[in-house]
Amino acid sequence: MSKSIAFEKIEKTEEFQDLKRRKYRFIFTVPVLFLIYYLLFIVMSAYAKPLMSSIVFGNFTFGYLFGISYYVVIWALAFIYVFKAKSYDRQVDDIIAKYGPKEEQEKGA
Amino acid sequence: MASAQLFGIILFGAIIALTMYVTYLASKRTTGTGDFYAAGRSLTGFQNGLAIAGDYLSAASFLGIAGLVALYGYDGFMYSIGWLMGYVIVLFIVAEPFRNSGNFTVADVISYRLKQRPVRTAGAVVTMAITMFYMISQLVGAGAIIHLLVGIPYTVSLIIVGVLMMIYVTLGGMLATSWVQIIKAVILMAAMLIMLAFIAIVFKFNLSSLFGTIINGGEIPGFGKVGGQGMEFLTPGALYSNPIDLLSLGITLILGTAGLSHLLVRFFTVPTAQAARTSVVWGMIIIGSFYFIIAIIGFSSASLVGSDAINEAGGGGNMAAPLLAQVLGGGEGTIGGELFMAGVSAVAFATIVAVVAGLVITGAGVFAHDIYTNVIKRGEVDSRKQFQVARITAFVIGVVSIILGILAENFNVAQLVTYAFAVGASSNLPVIIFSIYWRRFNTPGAVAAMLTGTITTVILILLSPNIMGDAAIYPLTNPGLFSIPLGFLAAVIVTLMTKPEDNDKMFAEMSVRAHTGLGAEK
Repeated sequence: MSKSIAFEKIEKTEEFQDLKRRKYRFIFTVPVLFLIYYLLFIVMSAYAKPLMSSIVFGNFTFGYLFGISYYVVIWALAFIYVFKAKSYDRQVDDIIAKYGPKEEQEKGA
Repeated sequence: MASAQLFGIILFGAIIALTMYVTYLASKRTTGTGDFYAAGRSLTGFQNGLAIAGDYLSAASFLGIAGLVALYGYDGFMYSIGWLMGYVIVLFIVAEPFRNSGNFTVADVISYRLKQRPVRTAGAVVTMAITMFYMISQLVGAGAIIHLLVGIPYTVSLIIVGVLMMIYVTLGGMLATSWVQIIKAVILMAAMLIMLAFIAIVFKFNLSSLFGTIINGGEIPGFGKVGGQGMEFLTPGALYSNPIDLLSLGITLILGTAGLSHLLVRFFTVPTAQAARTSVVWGMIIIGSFYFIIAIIGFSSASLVGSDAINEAGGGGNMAAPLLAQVLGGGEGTIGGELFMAGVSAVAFATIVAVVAGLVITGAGVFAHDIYTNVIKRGEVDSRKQFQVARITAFVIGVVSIILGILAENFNVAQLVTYAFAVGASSNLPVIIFSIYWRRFNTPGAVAAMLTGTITTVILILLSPNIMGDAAIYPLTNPGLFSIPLGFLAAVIVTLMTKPEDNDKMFAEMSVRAHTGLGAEK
């Protein structure tokens, strides 16, 4: 099956290079920023104890709310990713339609 | 008391019967290697998401983290946060291209355009190291917990768990393993939600008042005086005195998740990269909810059960969740309390069995597919023979890990799991990322990274305070801070120092396949 696909030709096309450029910029930047954001939590827990244990409202401390923020942020990132990935899927569909194997018309997995 | 133990045993029995039935159904559908290793790529994204959660949420999380929060407050809570964070890397960088470029094992991906035999051999060493660290921790936890809760001796409970998982894996393969994990995820989340509902009723649906009882103490009808640990309990520093150690642990957790072999092979059970994406998102929703709830369970246990009672039950706080169930159900000696506790114990049991089954099948896949078929026989094995070898390997891994588990009875369980993460982050992760994204990457670089990462991790563990005590040469309990940069550096330096491989054609093929799914295994 894979014999019939012109991998090298596809790899050199402007469309595929554009997909890679757009995709890489997004998929590497976000995790790096997130890693820094996560390390902030550890550093602040170690060196900003009074702030982390100060009450923000009710009986919630800043540290607890800061910790919970990670769940909110990571879920938000997951949905942003799915949204972005759908646009890559469309680009991929275009590439396959243009350069993909002709005898095999099924959508790229 | 006796009726509660009986109830516990009936629940154990019901869980075993259900999973055995699933295994029986799966065994009828498992006829070739594709079925055995990858469940015939028949899972949906949502099913695989549940299985990812079932694979990931171990007894160390359910019992161990509840205990850490209950005993150490804020520091336990901080520990609980790290476990979900690695999924950003899994989702953004690894899952989809990994699914598209592989077939059955991690080494399929990294050997795609590199030399088969050295890469597969080194990859097998890495996966075996991860599997063993993870496995021993699960089995030790299983033996101790079942012993504590049901009163069966440590060795006997270990053998029960071991035999069960061998049956699941050898008869039902990946399909049965996946369904055992799915069932476990559902049971575990249901148990957590029931506990959360009880907690919500006790604290009148007000999370703030739970923290109020911890800070100021309080009286709750039916529970008497509760909480009163004070502000200290919500201040950092109760558990971790060395911030550098914590940094090391944090980096290990966030980078290690994307390097866990048994988690990564789950992506081969779905038909497409899109389904792999969906499964990570579902996994993140379930796993995140789990860690959010487990911290509340821990804080509630601190408030309602109290640190003294948790410490008295032994096991480094492992009994915090079961004891909370007992108190919520009406207290010690009441039927409700004992039944609730037996129920939670049965859930802990199901948790362990599912995780262990996932580990065994990953180890068996690596030996049969990478070592036996591709390294020893150079790919010339019919799938029947390979299938047979995989089953025998699963059996052998089961027996070996039972023996290791018996020998390792007194090891610190939570620590062992983080060692598996450290191996994953410092040897699997650099190689997976570079082989997908870096054109120049070559075979010597891959082998160097995998061996450097694994060996450094193991050496630093041996030199750490956990093994050497006060005489430790390496001051941190977690090796990640050094072993992870070393693994990445070894990959880069050795690659740049050695000849480029003439594999542009293969890189083009892999790259197109990874990003478009063209030619991916269906």
